[in-house]
Amino acid sequence: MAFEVEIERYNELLPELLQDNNGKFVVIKGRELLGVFDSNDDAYEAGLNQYGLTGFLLRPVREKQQVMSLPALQLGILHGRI
Amino acid sequence: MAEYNFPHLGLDGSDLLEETGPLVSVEITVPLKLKRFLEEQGLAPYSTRSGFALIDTGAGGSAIDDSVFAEMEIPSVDSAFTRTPHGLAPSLVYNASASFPSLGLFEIPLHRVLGCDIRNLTDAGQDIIMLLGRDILRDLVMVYDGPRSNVTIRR
Repeated sequence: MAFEVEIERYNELLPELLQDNNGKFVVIKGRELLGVFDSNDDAYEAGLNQYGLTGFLLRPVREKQQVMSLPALQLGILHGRI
Repeated sequence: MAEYNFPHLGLDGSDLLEETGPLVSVEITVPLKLKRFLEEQGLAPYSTRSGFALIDTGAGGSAIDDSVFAEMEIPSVDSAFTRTPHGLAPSLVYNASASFPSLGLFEIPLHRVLGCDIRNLTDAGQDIIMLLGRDILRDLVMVYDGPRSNVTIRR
């Protein structure tokens, strides 16, 4: 799974992050937390400046991550033919 | 409110709306911050990928075909679970930007858009590369006029 190390680190840090940073955004690369940012744009810019295009985790701080629902994809309707 | 009409008719006047679903043209590009980063680094700017977005009122969030990100070399920023017929499965999450020129909407930030296998070519040759979900529809009014094979969008 992509970002396995980063997500594991995020989950370790989450209880502490939720205390003061709920709704903010974190950037993590490997096990390194680059920082906590007020906006997605600020976090993305900081991640780019630090890590360039090598990839980094940018995730909102919240108790549970959203599970996405795309019924057309889920039910196979999108590629279906009558 | 500005109003835009999208007739879904074949060259012979046949009804295409029922077959394809509501489509609008879309251009996918990199987010503004990445564009600025590339300029500052003296790197080549990314190109734009054009195609069609299928309006999907059932989709909680928008999604773009994985191949678009691969072609444009946009790095993913997260992994999120999506519901599939086999249970939850991880999908990559990207930061991108979308323009809908036919709606007069340009460079809408898509901070957390899913990458999924959604690319589909309609019989009329329209390359569907995006599912336009409720995260974008929340700012629009759409009228699906089946009898006239027309979609009206107000914003």
